[in-house]
Amino acid sequence: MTPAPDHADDSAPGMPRWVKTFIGIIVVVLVMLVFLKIIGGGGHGPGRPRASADTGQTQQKHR
Amino acid sequence: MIMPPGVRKLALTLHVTASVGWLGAVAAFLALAIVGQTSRDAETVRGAYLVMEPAARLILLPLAYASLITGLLQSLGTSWGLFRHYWVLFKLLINVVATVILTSYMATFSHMAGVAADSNVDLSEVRNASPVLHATLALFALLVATVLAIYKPRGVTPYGWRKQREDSRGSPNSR
Repeated sequence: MTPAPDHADDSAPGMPRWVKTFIGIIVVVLVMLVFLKIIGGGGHGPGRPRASADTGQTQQKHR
Repeated sequence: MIMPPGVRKLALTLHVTASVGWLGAVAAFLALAIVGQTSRDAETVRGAYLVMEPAARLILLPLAYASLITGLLQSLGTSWGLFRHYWVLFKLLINVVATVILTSYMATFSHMAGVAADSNVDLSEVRNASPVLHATLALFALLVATVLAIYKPRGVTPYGWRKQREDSRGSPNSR
């Protein structure tokens, strides 16, 4: 389990390509989620599915 | 502080068990969420959303926190460290984000269970696509974390590089 050194010279290592790819994928997923949240009005809090059933007026407010 | 080999193996066993268990539990949740969305049987749909809350509270949450805590112990108790390698850093990020979202999502589980328990609420109001989306994303994130843990792709962070230099200059036999 002991990690091997990734390099031996004095220069600081650059960011590996897989890390850049990974960050790119994370950014794309985050942008998609933000987009979905904006168009869907989503969130982690409760209340969304029930809103229209509770009051019967919530849907009209959105119209 | 580096753990002795016996303790390290025990910590690794606990971490793998919690993490893979969490992955399996999320897969089961995805199945449950799909049943809730697609089943034509009203009782089955309501039952799916009713069982999500206690199952999340008793299985998902404990496994998520166990995975996070054992992962922290595993990182800090071995020479891998927490911020030295990109793969460890990404695993930590995935674990923390997934655990925070799951914790905040517990209120939604409770709410969905309340809606499902109310027989006056129409079935179309009981159905909710949110668990399918969340379980799919969580499954993907945990699969990525598992792949990172197994492949351990190379790459040290600037901090890890400095620590490696210090270790090799200071005490070459410290590991």
